[in-house]
Amino acid sequence: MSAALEPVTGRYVRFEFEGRALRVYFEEAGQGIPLLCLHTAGSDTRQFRGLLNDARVTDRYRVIAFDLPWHGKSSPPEGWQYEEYRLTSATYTGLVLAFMRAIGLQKPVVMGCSIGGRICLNLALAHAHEFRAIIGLQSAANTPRYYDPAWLTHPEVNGQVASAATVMGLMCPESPEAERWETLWHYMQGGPGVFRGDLFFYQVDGDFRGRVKDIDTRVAPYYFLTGEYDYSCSPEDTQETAANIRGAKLRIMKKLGHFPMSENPRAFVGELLPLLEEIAAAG
Amino acid sequence: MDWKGFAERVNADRLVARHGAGSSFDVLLKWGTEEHLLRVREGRLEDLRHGPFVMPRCDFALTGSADAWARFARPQPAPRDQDIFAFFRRGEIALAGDTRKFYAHQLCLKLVLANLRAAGAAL
Repeated sequence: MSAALEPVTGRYVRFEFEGRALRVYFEEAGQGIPLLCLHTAGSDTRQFRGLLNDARVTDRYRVIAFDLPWHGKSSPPEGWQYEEYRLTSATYTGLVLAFMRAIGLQKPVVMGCSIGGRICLNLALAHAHEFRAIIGLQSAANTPRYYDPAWLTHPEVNGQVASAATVMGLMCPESPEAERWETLWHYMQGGPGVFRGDLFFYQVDGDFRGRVKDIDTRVAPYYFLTGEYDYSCSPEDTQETAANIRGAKLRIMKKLGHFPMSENPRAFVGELLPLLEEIAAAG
Repeated sequence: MDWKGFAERVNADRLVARHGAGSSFDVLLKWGTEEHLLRVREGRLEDLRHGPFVMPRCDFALTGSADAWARFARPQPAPRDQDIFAFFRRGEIALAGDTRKFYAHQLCLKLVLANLRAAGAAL
C-alpha cells in the first residue's frame, strides 16, 4: 500500500470577536511570504487544497486559509441556536483582521474568492496598509440578485443539495469532473442557513459600487482574476469594477468559472504564479 | 432539437440515477413556440411529450426563446451559457410555477437537462 502525507497542517485558534469567543479552524503549508486565502460563500478552506499542495506556490509562499465561523470545521459561536446567521461587511472585515492578529500574521497577501473577492475590495478601501497585495478572485463591487436564496432553508427543501445544485453550473464544464464534484461536496456539507447567510453579504449588504474608486493601489496593489464561465461575478462585472480603480490589474481566465482554485487547481495555479512572482519581486 | 434518444440517455445516466433518487416532478420546457413536457418519477424520465398543449399540467415551467435554449443545449456551450441560472440572470429563461419544487428537485433537473447536450457535457 502506498501512502502520501500532505504538507498541509490544520490547527484551531481561539479568540474574542465582537464580544464572543470564537474557535476558528485554519490550514497552512509552505514558507515565505504569507498568502491568506478566503473561501467562497457556503464553503470552506478545502477549496484551497490544490494551492496548499502545490510546491510551485508553497516554495515561496506560506499559504494560510481559515474557515469562517459557522463554516467547515470552525464552530458557530455559543448561542447559535437562537439566532439566524447573516454575514455583513463590517463583521467579515473585522473577522479577517482579527484572525490575522490571532495568529500573528503581518502584512500578508490576501486572496479571496466570490464573497472573499468582494471583501477584498473593502479591505483595500479601509485597511490597505495591512496588506502587501490584494488578489480578488471573482471579485466585483456588486452582483444583482437573480435568484431567491430563501428557498435554500425551506423545511421542504434539502438545503445542502439545493445549495450544491444552485452553484454547480458556475463552473467550467470542462474543469476536471473530480474537482467539480469535490467542490459540490463542500456545499453539500454546509450548515443549515449558512450559504444563505453569506449571500446576505453578497447580494444585499456588501455593495461597494461608488466606493471602489477610492481604492489606492499605491498602498497595496490590487489584482483581479476572473474565470470566463462565471455568470454570478461575470467578466463584465469585474471589468466594470476594475475600470473604476486606478492602477488595478485584471486578467480574465479562460476555461475557468466561479471556483477557480477548487474546480481546476492546476490551471488556476498557472494563472496565479505570474502574479505571485510579480508581488514577490516588488518586495 | 432532436429529442431522439433523449429519454434513453437520461435513464442510462448514472448521475441522474444517483442524485435523482426520490425526485418526482413535471416540468414544461417552452422553447419559443415549442412545448415539451417532461414527467420525472423517482429520478427516471417516465414520459416525454411534445406540444402544443392545451392547459398542460406541470409543477413548474421554464420559458425561453428557441435561440436561448439552442445555446444552452449546445454540446459545448459558450462561457456563461452552461446553466439555466445564467439565463435567469440575463432574463432569457424564466421560471414559473412551484418554486419550492424547483429548488427541491433542482439537482435532478439540471442533471436531466445536461442530457440535452448529446456529447454529454456536464452542467
